[in-house]
Amino acid sequence: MGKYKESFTKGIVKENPVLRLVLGTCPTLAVSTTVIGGLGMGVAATFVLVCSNIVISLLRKLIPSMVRLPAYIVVIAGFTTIVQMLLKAFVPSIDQILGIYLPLIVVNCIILGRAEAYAGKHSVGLSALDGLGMGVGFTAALVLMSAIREFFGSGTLAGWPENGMFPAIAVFAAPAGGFFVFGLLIWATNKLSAKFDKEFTPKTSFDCSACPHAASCEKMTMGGGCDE
Amino acid sequence: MRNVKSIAVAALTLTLICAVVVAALAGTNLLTKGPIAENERLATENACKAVMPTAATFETVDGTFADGVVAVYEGKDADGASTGYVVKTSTRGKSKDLVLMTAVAADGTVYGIEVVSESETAGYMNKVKKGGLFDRLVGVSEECGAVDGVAGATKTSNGVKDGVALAVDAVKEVVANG
Repeated sequence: MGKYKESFTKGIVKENPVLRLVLGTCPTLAVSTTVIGGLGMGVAATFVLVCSNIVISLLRKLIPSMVRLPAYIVVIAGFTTIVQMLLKAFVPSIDQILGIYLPLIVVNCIILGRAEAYAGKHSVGLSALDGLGMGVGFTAALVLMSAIREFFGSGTLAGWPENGMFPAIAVFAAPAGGFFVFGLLIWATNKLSAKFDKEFTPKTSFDCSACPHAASCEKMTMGGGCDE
Repeated sequence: MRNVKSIAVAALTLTLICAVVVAALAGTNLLTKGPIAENERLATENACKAVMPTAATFETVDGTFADGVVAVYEGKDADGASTGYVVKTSTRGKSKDLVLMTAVAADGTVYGIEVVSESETAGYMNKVKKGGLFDRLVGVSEECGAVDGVAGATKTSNGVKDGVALAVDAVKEVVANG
């Protein structure tokens, strides 16, 4: 039971894809100006992540390693397009907020990263939980960040109240504000991890351990990295 | 020989995966095609109604129009009589894709303008609206370019004027061709 729990919970805080692994920053910075947009992006990406992890895990023994990346991308692109069609048909307002970032889920590095590093090597159940945990972590980070940016940048939360509670500080909603908030959140996550997680070791140098391919990289297991 | 076999297996697997994904997409498309078309129709109708509240239904007018004219709709009231035309245009202000809906009467007089979407520098479209350009354009039937723009937002003003001018010309063309 332990490993199932671990594969789900690690994505939420300990290996949070956005705040700890620093993956998927493009959608994080782009759609985190409103809570609704952040939540919509998180849920859509989680759906694609869980589905593609399940399918890739099912097919992991059938896909020749020579063509595994194109095979993964076809599966991921398929699910992304399905999500896009469903949103367009049944929740067009979310589709409008997400705009171009919805089809771009295909190239979200969290999804390909998990396919390559986890789903291609683990059983279906574990892969589904891994996808769900990573997705929840991604969504939580997005909602947190978009709540901060929307609150200060437009004076509202999830669009309420309509005219804002106070004069907005526009820089929070602008791209530069996204980087400020993102940096502060990473700092806060590292501080809190250092306080509550005994196994946590602060990063003193930057190596390949955050790379999505770290778990499968031959050079990593030999103790080196891409430079060597 | 072994190499040929492994390449063939890889190619075949990839083709199979693609085929399955295509089938799944085709199935989803069948399911969502109807609602998506309905949503698009509703969105267009609402945008048309915003500039022409007197019409009950809108019909697309077929034909080829100048560059920048996206679509021309003819408004019909409950009895089926024409209430005028709504023209969707896409022009360039400071940035491209300044999309407007302009209601034009059959005689070519503008009587309503709405911004559908724009990607001007934030705040400029508001400046143009507050500067009264839209009010000045209502009632115009020719020489839209001669209407005064809003100082400090010249490029956005010109984009709006271009869109309205295109709309007026398109309606005149439709009326002239019957």
